[in-house]
Amino acid sequence: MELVREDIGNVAVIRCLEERLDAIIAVQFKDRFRDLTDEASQHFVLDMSRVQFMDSSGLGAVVAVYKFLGREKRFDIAGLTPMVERVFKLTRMDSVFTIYKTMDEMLASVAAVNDQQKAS
Amino acid sequence: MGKDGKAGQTYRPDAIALRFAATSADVRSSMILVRKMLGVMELSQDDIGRVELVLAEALNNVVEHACVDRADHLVLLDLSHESGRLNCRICDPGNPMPGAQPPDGHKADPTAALDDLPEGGFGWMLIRELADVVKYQRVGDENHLFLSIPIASSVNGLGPHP
Repeated sequence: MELVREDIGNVAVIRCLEERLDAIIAVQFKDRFRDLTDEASQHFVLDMSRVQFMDSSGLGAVVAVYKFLGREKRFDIAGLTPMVERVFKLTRMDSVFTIYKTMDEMLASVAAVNDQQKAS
Repeated sequence: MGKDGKAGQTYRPDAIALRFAATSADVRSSMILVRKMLGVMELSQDDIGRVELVLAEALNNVVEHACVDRADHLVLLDLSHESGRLNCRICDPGNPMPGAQPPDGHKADPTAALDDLPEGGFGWMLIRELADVVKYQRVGDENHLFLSIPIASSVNGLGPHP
């Protein structure tokens, strides 16, 4: 299960390097994601741009890590390929998460919020 | 030969049959093979994606419910392409479906509180969204599931029989 963390500013980006987020790795995904979290980080982004296929078990694992992080922390998703986007839409879970089309879009959004905070 | 048996034309199959063990690992490798074969059948990437999702969900259910802990069970997957549809038949020798019928599948409630968000139960909902025919029969000691998925015509326009 290839899941790696890269911090960009205050954002902990968790990149899923697997092409398939399916039933066979759903449990490992949850475990590995939890291992990559820490108390201090407040904002996590799951980068799914490498994931070409996700089934309902994979979706369940994403929901599980979101619940694990809880209300106190922010969890967003970035980089949905068409197949993965379809699963979020059909299950209506796209309305549960803040989803950025690309990682660039996510970073631009975070930069804009930081600028606003600096200005005020 | 494919449906258009003209000389010099590339062979294009319109049916696939696979037999594999009722394990998650075999489901995954079968899905990767099916994806390639559907490409050879000249389905669009969008259609391949929908078929793959339906089959993965149905086969996950076979592995996790009907044939749970029975890696010795063999699953049979038959796919056939006719105009505007991909028909799928999945046969397994596992436990029958509860109530002898496939579940309806429920939509998740995205407005649910964080702790109440569902982590599962999306499988049948996805199957029913994408397959417009779902038939289940218990035949002897086997489950037979028939799914039909509407697809766009092939990239090169494989139409109905002339």
